[in-house]
Amino acid sequence: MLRNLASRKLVTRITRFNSTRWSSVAAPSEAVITSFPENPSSKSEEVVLQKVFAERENDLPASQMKNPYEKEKVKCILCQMDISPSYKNLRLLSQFVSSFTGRPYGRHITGLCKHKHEQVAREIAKARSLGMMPVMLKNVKFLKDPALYDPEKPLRPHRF
Amino acid sequence: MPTYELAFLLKNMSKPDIAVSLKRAAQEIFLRGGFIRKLENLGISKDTPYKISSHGQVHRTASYFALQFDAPPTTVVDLKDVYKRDVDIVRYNIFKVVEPEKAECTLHEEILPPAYRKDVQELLAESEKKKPKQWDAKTGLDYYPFQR
Repeated sequence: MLRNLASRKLVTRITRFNSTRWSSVAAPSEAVITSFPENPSSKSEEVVLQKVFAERENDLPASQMKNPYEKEKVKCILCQMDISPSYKNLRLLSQFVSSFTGRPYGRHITGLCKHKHEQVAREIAKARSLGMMPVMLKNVKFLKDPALYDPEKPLRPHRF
Repeated sequence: MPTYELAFLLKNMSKPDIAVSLKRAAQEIFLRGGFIRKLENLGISKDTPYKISSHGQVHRTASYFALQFDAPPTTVVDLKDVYKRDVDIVRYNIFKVVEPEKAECTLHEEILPPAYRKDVQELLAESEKKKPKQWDAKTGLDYYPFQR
């Protein structure tokens, strides 16, 4: 008797709002429990472990993957552009030479790696001995070339 | 036969004279069993960066050329001798044409502070080797027990 009264109350409440919305939902009294989830502690340890490992396999880190946090190695300007200096390319050689004295700057100023710096130095010597490149000064035509470095801010401080 | 490059300057002359001098220089190579690959013109009647004196004359302008050729290595010395005597050639040099070495850029190692640089570490290791062994008094004390 009491139960019928309760259900009647429910119906009246529902009809005030949109009855179609609630029609698909089953009333709590009609719900039926068909099966319970598996209790893992009831099975043996080995089986449980196997299951864990099988699921874990997809989560392991890829050992063949490269280090994604590896920083890009810094390259000197000539290695970046893949340029080999030549005694005929006077303009390029003059870019690594002081505009005040005509002398080549050190590696700590130009920012060249040892290999390329030695190549540049060799080609400057060649060009000078052949009478192509001036010795005591920088060619006037090349004075306004773009600067590849700031001589006032070397990588390590110098005495001058 | 290895490839050589003759970079030379010709004194200030008229164009037909320049052609004659170039032919003469090339002919010397042919006479010694060489072959010419190419002749580059690096500028005619250009101001030289500094005064150049040769064969009793002072030059302030010259024509620049580079002649690439293949020749037997034994003839290079003779060629240098010939070009030394040529009055029209102001300055010259013969280089072997070699492909530039391809080495990886080591700038990232050179930028490191000195303690982490390989060459500095090598130097330190060398100096440690050369250190003479200090005489051990075997007193078991870490201080000098006598008054100096």
